[in-house]
Amino acid sequence: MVLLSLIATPSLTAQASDGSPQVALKIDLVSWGDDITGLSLKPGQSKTVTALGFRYSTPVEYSGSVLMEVHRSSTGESPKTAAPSADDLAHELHPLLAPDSNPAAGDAAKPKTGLMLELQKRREKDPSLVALAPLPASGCRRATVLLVPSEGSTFIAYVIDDDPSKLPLGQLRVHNLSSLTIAMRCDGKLNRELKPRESFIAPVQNQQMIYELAYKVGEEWMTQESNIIPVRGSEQTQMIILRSDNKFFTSTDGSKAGFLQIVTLRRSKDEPPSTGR
Amino acid sequence: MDLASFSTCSSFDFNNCVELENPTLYNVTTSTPSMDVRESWQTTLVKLQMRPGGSSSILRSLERFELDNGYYSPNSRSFTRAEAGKMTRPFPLMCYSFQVSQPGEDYKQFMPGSYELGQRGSTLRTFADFNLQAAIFHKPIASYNPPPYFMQSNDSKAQLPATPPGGDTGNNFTRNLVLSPLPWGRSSSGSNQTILFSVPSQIASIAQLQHADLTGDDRASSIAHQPGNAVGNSYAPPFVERGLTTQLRTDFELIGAPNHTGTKNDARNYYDISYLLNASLWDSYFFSSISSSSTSAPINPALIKLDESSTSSAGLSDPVKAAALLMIDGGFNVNSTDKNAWKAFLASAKHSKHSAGPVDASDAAFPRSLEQISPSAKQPTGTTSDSFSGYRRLTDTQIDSLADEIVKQVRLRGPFLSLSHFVNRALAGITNQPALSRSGALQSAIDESGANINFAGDKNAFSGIRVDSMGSSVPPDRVTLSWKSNGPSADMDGGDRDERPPNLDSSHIDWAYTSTDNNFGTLASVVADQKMLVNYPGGSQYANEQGYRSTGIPGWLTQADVLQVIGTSLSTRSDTFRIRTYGESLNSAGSVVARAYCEAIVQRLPTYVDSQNVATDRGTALNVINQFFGRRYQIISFRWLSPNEI
Repeated sequence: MVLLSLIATPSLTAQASDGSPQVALKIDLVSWGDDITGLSLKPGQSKTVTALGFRYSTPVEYSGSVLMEVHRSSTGESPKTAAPSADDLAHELHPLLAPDSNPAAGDAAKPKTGLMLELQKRREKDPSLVALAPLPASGCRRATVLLVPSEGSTFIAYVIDDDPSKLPLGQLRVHNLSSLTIAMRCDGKLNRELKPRESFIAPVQNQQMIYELAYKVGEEWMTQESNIIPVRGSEQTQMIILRSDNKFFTSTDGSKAGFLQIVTLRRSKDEPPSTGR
Repeated sequence: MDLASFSTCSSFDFNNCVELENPTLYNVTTSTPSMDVRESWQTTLVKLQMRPGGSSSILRSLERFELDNGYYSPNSRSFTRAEAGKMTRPFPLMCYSFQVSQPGEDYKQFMPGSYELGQRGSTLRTFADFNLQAAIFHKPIASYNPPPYFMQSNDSKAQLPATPPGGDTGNNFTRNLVLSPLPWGRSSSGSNQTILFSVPSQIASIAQLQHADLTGDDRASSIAHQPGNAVGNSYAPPFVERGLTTQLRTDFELIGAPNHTGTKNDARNYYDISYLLNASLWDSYFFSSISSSSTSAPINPALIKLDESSTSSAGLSDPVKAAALLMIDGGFNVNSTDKNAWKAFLASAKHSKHSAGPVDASDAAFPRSLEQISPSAKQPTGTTSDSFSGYRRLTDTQIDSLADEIVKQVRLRGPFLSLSHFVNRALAGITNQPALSRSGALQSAIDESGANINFAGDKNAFSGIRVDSMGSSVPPDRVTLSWKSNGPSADMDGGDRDERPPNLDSSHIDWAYTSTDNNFGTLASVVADQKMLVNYPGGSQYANEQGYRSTGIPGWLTQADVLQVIGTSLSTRSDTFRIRTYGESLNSAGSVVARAYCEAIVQRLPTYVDSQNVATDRGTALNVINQFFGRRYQIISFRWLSPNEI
């Protein structure tokens, strides 16, 4: 996962000591792919939340260290799925699927640095710890923590500052979480080039945004697509551009919808009440 | 539904879509509320027709797109009871999209990771082998979908949101539809317009008929599986073996339930329509360019009246008599093996102005049409406006190379006994004469000179096209329809091997050998010479014969483009000759006492030697003298020469 080197900064590791700043804010745990069950922000919690694949579920009130711990109970509920019938099995698809690639798998042999090293140390004491999320230090009342599957049942946390003052309802923020430089033209006018991890507030007209997206490989710009996305006045919308082999982005036949993957996170003003930590 | 611009109709909202309602399918009382999409047997087909409002005439018909829903439940969406109760609006389970297969588009991104470019119509010579102005797009042989469309199916959770309360179509539904039209050539700075066809306001050359939709077969006219720019071009079509111009083949149509391996077999003739049109037109017709409003003189300055002093227009507007009254000023014999003559002839297109610019261009212009809207580029990109809405010019260096290659082709293929012999490819088996049967003399010369991309791929005129994509993110331009195991590669490939539809001819396998969900349809089945398929048993020595995806874009110089400019001056014989002779006077001893040299220029005229016949008489209408001697020669100049002029 390319995010590993982008997130694990030495300065944040240093903040993970006992004297780290304290914060209080509302957290949304979101999965980068399959739903992640049994999550809590404190070890041993009986009440857990499920991070849904690129959509919001129940927010969690959090107060504590700016380096937030995410724990996962070993008995997380499995989602119920319908059992296939005999007829289903007799006609099961046999598509040609490429072998699963797990970019993070090769990271196991690499020496840990930054947050990953800190996570490894803490997991020796508490194996339920699965991620460390560096929260915005101050002035933020809301954050989305995107959990990216990593090695050994752990997750890399990508934090989006969702404070309502920075992204009001009816607004759209575009995030480049890919490892490539991308370029967006919005409504045929605004041109923005985004390096990895950069984001910007995109213009919205008539509760929608028309965009053209390209990405840079070497010195060549490649066109990805044009599209239109709804940006409703009752929602806080985040458009995330990334590159992933996760099956969340993969069709039954093993195909994907392009070189880069695009997902949209929508938080409604009528969201469910948050739970305690 | 009313048609409206994409950006004004909330296209992402399912409430604006046609909805199939069947509430009995969904029962929230089951323990696991879940929905999926599936089909019985093999096929769900969609036919699209575009008609003007209130009219029965068809503008365009796209026949039998496959919407394979698969079977079983990988595309299912399961909900908690609470979520199911909130799901009050439609949500998507499958999305199918079809796009005209474009050179430059990396369709591998939209296919399963184990697929190769070539499957699902991802590499085709869309602009050379297909007719984008056709009314009827049908599904040939055992194709899975009608070419030249690339198919993408998507049921990923990322693209098809099933989030309560529903209503969103998902990104895939609106992808690349919002900006109309989508840039051609897949460049981020690509052209939003392409000019493929135009109706010429003035017609001088037969090759200008490349803009007319003259496609057709025994069933219909204006069909998609023949070249849109047919007249004047000569690329061998994939549907017919190289040695043929007409081939009876079988179109298969899956019958479906209750017999899922059953097919309806429909014998159909496939044609090399370019060959047939060229053979019909080039030696029998010409455009006099006599205006209907003014019959006194041709508009084409290369045509002059036989009697220039005559002010009479009698016969000029008569389609039979006009040829007898006109001559070509500067006619050129295509059998010439003089490189400099060809250079001079091609260079006659230099300094031609085109309204699209550039204004100061001195290079030779060979535009697809006068209606191109973008200027030519010194080096064509193959990806941006110069190549899709612009046109081509050739530099002096390129003209030199082209003349060189033309002479080679004349020596290889000549002497040409007719113009269509020069224009058309040779009819020969691919294993015997792959190069001569690939395209006509002029097109082969253009390609091999490097004005486009040559067969070997080591000469490439385009800055934005990669032949094999080595070390580049740009997808390769080669067409790579392929063979797998014991048949053409399936467009829906997978692990199924049983219950294939039967092949009619065991020596020519049309159905794929492997598939997923018993979909053995394959676009590669259209290739008549299966030795051209990548991975064909015994080696892929003919794989490059499939050509390049960019073939035929407006920036790809075609034979017809060149013939539009020079076609009016071509002939396969010379009508004007310079004759030199000498005479000697000998004395009684046999010694030369006097010697004289002279030169006459004689010209063949439309009139016969014996004026008993008129110029338009033919065959048995001719008397014996004219049958034997034919047309009259006239001495148009004579002079004595001095010895130092010899």
